[in-house]
Amino acid sequence: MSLLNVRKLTVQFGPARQPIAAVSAASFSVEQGQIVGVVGESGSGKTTMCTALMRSLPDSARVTGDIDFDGQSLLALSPDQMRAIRGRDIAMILQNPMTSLDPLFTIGNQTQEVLRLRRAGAKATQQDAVALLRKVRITAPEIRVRQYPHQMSGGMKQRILTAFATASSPKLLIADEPTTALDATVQEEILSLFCEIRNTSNVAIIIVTHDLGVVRRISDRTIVMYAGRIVEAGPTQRVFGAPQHPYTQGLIGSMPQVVEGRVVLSSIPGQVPRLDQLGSGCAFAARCQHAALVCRERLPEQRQVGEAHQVVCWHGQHAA
Amino acid sequence: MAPASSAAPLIEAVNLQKQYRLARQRFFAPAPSVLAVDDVSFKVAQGTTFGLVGESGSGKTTVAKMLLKLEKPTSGTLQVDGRDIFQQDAASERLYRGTVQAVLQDPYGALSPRLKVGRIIAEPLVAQGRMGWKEGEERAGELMALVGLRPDALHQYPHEFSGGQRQRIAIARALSVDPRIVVLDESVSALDVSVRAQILKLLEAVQQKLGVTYLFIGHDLAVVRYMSTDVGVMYLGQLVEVGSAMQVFSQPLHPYTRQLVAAGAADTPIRALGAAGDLPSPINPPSGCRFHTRCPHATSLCSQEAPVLREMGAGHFGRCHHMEVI
Repeated sequence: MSLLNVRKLTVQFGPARQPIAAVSAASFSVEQGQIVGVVGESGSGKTTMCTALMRSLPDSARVTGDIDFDGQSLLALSPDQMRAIRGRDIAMILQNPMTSLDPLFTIGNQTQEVLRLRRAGAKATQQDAVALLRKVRITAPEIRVRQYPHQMSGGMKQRILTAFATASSPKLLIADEPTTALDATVQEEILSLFCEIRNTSNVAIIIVTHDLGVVRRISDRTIVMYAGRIVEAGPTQRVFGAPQHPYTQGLIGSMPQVVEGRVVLSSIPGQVPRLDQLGSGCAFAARCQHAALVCRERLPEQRQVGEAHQVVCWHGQHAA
Repeated sequence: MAPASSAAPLIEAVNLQKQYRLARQRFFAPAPSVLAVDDVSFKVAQGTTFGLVGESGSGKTTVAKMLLKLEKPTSGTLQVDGRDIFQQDAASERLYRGTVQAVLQDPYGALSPRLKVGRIIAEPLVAQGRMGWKEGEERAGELMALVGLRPDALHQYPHEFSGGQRQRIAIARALSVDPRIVVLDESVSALDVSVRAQILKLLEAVQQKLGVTYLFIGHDLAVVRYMSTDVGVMYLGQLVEVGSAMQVFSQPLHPYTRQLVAAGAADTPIRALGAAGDLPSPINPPSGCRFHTRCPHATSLCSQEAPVLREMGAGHFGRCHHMEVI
């Protein structure tokens, strides 16, 4: 039984007669202790999908489908029941560590607040805060608890937020672009911290990013999104080693790679379609070099292309 | 000091240094200062791309600003075409402004929301006094075609374009005055992967067609490697390694470059790489070698004596005491 099982998750905005689907019929599952990478470009629905998992979308969003987490159906829970899960069993780390902390309170103060909330009102002392910060390898936490967010570097703030997110020993951690704002070597430290947390507490982690390099190196499983749909999902090694969807192939080709001593790069022509201008067919058809008539007319079904590897594409179906 | 090159270089920086004064902490205390750029020397040949990599605060942008004459070096010289750009009279300075142009990171902040695209692209031409608005906008139409935009977009406003398209507009504007040098400061960093690939291809095509020289600043190593002929790696204001892209990325000399290269490689397992802790402050840089606090190979020599840039291979320089043994 998977920790998280998402079936046909759809998020729509706008008028009911002409809805815009930010996420369409997304189905995937996450196992305990698994790191799942979600990649896609801006507007592909990555963040909306993850925010839907937390049920933190604004009221204007219409969410349908089924989110089964740890034996409960999240979409059926009352707001109060959901509040008990949000932040406690499912925690989230956001992209911008600069704005996630309150500039007016010390790190110690904010850490204690998190601990107090997670323990349902039990007292938290400065020592508890120091202990928590030490877990994410903040150097000299005794000094740091007395300091303010502006005295911290970006990497340190992201460590602190990771400490907050993991304070309640969540079963699922959702990290939305956790390293995008950080420098290369600092990014490396945060990623290794994630690996360490997974190894010690067996938490499942969903990492949302547009950085294919990060996903390739950290995740066990990779989900590729395009225009609100999951177009390919599979074990990371397979998705990168033998990508099946033309979009996945194009994305990987868009990263400069060294082939026989030369750096090569290819690019996908055209641009991401607007979500309110999607036709009846595959959203990628207009940019796809393999597109046939069927691609423009009908949505492809998801099909299995290997062990735990799925692709949503007409291409290859006829050939196979 | 600087890498030798066969032809006379278009750009030559010799021992560039830029010091900024900071606000004093107490009334009678001396004002602290920061060496944003310290002892930076490099040469760039005409029609090639010089890539600068390094973390935030390493001084990459300050170097770019000096080349754009937006900042004056505290010491050292910066020559373009064999002439010191900080010893120009007013007329040649005006000419110089047309020789060097920039494309910056944020395509949203770089274009005035109140001007139509045609005006945006024609403005440098008019400002340089080369032509009037009417003629300028005609030229803008040609430039739009060059960067892959529909010429009828001349009459649209920037908000009608996507990030990638705006960056194309910014490139067209930079090219309008036929510059010899274009400074690309994190020009593709804010773009999505597939858009970034398109813009890189465009920049490459422009260089082949017009023979412009690029100063390409980035933090994504794969991208810098793809674009650059020669590369300089900066750490806390200093160049720690210079060489051809091939040399720097295939046989990195400096431990810092090695870490960067390892972090960018697809097959490197994730673990805490050597660089532990945060970047030290450039206001109070570590003694001796500035990298010794994060270096896995540091010895007592490293904390006492600052290494100098030494040539290890033809045109391949590194700033480390232990390059021979590590």
